[in-house]
Amino acid sequence: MTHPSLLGILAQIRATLRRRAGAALACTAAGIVGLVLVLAWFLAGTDGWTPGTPIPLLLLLGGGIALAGIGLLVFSRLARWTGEAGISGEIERSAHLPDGSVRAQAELLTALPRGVSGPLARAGEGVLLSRLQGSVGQLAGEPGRIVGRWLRVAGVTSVVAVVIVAALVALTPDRTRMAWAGLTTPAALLRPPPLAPLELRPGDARLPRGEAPRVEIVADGRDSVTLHWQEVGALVESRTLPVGGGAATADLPPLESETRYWATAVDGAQTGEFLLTPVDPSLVADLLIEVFYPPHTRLASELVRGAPESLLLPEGTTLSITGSVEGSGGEVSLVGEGDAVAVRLAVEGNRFTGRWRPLRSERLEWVVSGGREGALLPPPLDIEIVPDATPAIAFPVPGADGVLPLSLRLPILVEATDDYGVAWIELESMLRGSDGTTREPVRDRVETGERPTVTLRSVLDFNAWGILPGEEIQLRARAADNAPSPHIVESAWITLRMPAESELRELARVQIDEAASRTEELLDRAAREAAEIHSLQREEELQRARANPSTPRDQFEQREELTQALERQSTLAQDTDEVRERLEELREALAEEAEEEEGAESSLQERIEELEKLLEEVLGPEGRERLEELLERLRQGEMPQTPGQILDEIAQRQEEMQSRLEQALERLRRSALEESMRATEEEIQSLMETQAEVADSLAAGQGSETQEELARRTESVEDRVAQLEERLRTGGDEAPADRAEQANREMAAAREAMEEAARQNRQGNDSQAREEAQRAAEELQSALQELQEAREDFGDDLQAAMEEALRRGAHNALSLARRQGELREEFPNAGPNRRGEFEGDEVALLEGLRNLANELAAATLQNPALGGAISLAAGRATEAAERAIDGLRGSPSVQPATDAAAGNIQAALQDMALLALSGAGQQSGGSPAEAGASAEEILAQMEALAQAQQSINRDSRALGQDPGTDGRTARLEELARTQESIASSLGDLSREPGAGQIPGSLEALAEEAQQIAEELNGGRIDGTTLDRQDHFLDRLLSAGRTLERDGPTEEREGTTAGAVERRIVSPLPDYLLEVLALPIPAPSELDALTPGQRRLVLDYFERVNRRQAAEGNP
Amino acid sequence: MTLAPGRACLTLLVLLAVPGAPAASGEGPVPATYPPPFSAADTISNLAEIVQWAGPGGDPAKASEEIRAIVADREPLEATSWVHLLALLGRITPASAPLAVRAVAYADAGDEPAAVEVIVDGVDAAPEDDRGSLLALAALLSEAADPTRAAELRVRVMDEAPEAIEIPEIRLRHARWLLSIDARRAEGFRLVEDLIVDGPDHPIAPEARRLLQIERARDQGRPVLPSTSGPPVPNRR
Repeated sequence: MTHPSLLGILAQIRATLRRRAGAALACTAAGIVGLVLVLAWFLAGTDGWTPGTPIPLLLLLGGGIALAGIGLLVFSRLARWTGEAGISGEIERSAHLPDGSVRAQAELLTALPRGVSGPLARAGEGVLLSRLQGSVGQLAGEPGRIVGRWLRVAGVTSVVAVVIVAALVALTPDRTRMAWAGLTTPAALLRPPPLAPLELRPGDARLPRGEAPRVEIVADGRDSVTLHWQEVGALVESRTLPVGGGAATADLPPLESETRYWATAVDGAQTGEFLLTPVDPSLVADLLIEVFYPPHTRLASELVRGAPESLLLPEGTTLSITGSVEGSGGEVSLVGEGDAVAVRLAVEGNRFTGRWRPLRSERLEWVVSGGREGALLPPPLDIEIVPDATPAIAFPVPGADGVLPLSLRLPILVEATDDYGVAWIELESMLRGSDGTTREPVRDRVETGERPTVTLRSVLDFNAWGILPGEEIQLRARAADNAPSPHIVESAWITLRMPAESELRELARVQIDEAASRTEELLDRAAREAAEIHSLQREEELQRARANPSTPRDQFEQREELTQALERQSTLAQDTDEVRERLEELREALAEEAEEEEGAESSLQERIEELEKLLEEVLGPEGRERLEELLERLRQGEMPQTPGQILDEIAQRQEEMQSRLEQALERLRRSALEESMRATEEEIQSLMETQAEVADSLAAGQGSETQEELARRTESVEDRVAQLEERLRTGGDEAPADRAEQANREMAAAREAMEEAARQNRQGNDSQAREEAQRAAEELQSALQELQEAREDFGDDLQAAMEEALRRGAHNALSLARRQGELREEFPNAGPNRRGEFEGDEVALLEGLRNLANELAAATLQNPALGGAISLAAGRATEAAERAIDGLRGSPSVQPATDAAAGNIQAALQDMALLALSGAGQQSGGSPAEAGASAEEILAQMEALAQAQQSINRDSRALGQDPGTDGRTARLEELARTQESIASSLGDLSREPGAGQIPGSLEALAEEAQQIAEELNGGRIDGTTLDRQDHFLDRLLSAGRTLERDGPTEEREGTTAGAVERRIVSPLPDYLLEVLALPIPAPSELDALTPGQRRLVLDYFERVNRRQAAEGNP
Repeated sequence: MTLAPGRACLTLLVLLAVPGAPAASGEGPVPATYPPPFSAADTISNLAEIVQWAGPGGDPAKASEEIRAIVADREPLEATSWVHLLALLGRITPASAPLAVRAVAYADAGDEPAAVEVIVDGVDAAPEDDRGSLLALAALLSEAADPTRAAELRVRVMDEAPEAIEIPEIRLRHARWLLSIDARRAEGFRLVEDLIVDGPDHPIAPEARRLLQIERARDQGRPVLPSTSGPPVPNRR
């Protein structure tokens, strides 16, 4: 190895030595620090440093000194080694050069002396350099080797120290922290710990007079203490006591008067001052009173030693008193007021004993005859007898008079409390007829286990009592305590009336309102939950984007989050069910009422049932099942799909729930509003009836007060109408709102007329009063009509909304059908890239189909037959879509099957559209629930039913031809249900007034449909059933056609036709002329026939002509 | 496309014999009285009569029955426009019905340009509430034959009848068209995203999501997967 310059070599060796020495010094310092830390850990022990220890300071000083010493040594050595002489010498020794040759050359190069040739000097350097072989390290010689060795040793030491320190931190973090904390405050640790405070015993005390009190002073860490005492009126005395075993003891002089005492120590510690009080001896010794409480208190007996000054005793307590008399006693007794002896205790020897039950509260004096002279009697004994308290009872639920719940199941809450225990609670119920007679009361007693506080929650079921409207239930609660002579307490009677029909309706209104508010809350919750799920989705997507492998902990957390999200969804569904159950209860109550009251209106029940269905659909049985399955699997620690997929599913379900809740809420609001309108109408009706009576009274010169009262009632109804108007306007129902506004104006006019009538009556103008009263009645009549029309308009709006929903659904079905058609046409000509996308397109279509099915299901709640038929068509479309998707996933050879499936999807979608359109026509024609459907309305409904039947027939045929279809049983059940719905709808239609125009009985058709449904229900779907279905469809169509054609058609007006635009007109092809080879009968001949017969004849001619044209045989 | 004899016959009948739409120009046979007391043809599926039944003073139920009969005779691919007509007749006034019937008849005969022209020529005279649905019909009928014309009509529908029942489908189709033009892709993306946000549960929303997924994948040069979950779209509901 050759080197560029000598000076360079010198500089390199110097730098190398310094660098290595510096590194070695740093490693040494690290090693020393580590050593100090490790030593500190060992020396501090498990309890840390004890105050006063100098060890931390010594360790720090030792470490510092060692480091400084090593540092100084290194600097001095380094100065010597890195000097020019030192380095040159080492080089010369290493390269075996003559002494001084390197140094001389270096000096020559550093400062060239005058007259010396530079090139010559460089030549000399060159010669020297040529002889310098080896690395800089080798040339550094002995210092290089020393520094190298030192660096290795120091490096290894520092690494070992770091490892040990790290291990100590990891394994014993607390001990390490305590030990090293001491190193940060070595000076503070030098201070010794403070001594414990002095303790003086017995403190304040009452001691027998003449006794020498023994005092103990606890004085840890002291050698001696000084005890000070001072008797009353005497000087302070002191005595210094040696401390042995941490304490010193001393006996004070015999106690004759009150004495203060305290202690001090040389370190300045001092106790507080205490007082010793002398007490004279008692005449009664070893007094022991045993207190036996009465059993109902369930208190254990107690012992009282010595003479108590007072005793608080429950009534019935017995005292057992024993003791002895100092000296020889003759008699011991307790004497009350007026020296009446309360108890005399028998004395035997000097012992006395006795048993006594105090009956009243009093102050008793001890009386002892004989005994030691000078001894004192015990203090007087105050006995207070606490009488047994009467239990308290509260009946907060139902709490007050009211009406029975519709379910006739009355929740009750009774609370009873007693000082010792409530023995029982009794409920007394009694039925009171509308004529005032009462039945034998029924008492239910519940033993309560003698607890001091008893809460009884229960539900009383009055369903078996056969309560009629107007009858009342009277209820009261009774409770008794557990005393030997029990105290019994009763609540007040609570009367609950069975609501009359009008009240029942009012209750129904309130409950519908409540259901609407509750649903609104649920909707808010659903929206918040949806936001939460979206946030989880985003989080999951971010995590997935980072592509970090998830740890078991991450997986656990994800599973927990998913479980919680599913649980919240499940709770939401349960809460929705609760709302639905309330409505169901309400409907059942209304149904019971309707059974009892013949002719009661059932439309409210139907509306409530519809609301129930809407709420039931919020999650639906399938969604519920899926949710429970997912939840169960997650709870068992499984992850059935990827978290992202599960979240997508949850989010989708949440959106569906939200959307259905919105629908339900809208319907609930509308129903609530409609019911409020009905209620107001009833109020106005009632006002009208009363007003008619008042008008008669006014004519007879009476009734001004009644008239004024009626005016006030009218004013309150005005307020209700104004509220209705506002609610209608808020909901965007302008036309009904305008009518309500008009009704309100008429109500105001009626009220003014009533006030005027009352005024006239008071002035004696009877005829004018009567006129005004009649005017008021007329205004009320107009207001009522206006409000009724408002309600009808409102109902029409709902029908219009349903119709709109069905038309929208029909259009959406067509939209999907069109898209399916485009895909079907595109597929055969698509390139391979595009073909790969078809599966995704079909999946999208399938999802759209599901959305459509949901949309139409919501729109057909009022028409189960139509809903069932649409559901069947949707099922067909879904199955075909699934087949198409399977086909696209398979080989290209299955293309024809895929094409057929695509065609079936389109056909099913078109069926859905047609069914929805039929339903829309039915909606515009009025719903079966409304009384008095016209023939046209019945026709529209029958058209929808026929469409539905056609759909059922098609499905039945498909199912019959392929018995191995998956889910055959389920599909059969669905077919049967839809068939039953048709039967039921026909039954409803048959009761309509317009149904009489249909020849043949709709009831018979309904019966036929029901029989077919039963066959389907029995799993039968053979040729007979299919024929029967076809025959039934023919009958249905014929009935509808007859209704349409028979009799005069609706008015037709001729209109002048406009001109026809002539465009692309092709000549008629020959075959079109040939089809008329068999001439159609002349109109005059056909005119004689009925429309039905005409159609048959013309159909026949048309078919014959077509066939002949097709065969080419004119 | 080959025409079945019956269909050609029906179409020609409507072109030759039907009284025109209210605003149609040109001349044509005008019946002396309407409706005739009885015509042999009224019981045979006859488009001329459908126009009369569906038109002012006609019998919508009868028109509906006849159209249903036509639907029953058709293959699903060919029946959609007739079902659309049926749906349309329930929404538009009788005055506009002849326009719709004639347009569907032209389209059924394979002459989509004529179908579109029938509507475009007559739509301005139609009641205002009917125009959106008529133009939407025209847009849908011209979709395959003249995409540019269809786009113009869609824009007109979106401008003139933003609340029309057909708007979601019209918007989706227009978005698909915009996305096929490089310079207007951003507009297309916005339209389809708005569509999803406005109706996340709408039956065509999955198709819109699918379109978004395909087009975004195309922008990023990624293969398109069969899944329809697509990119997340904020729910503004």
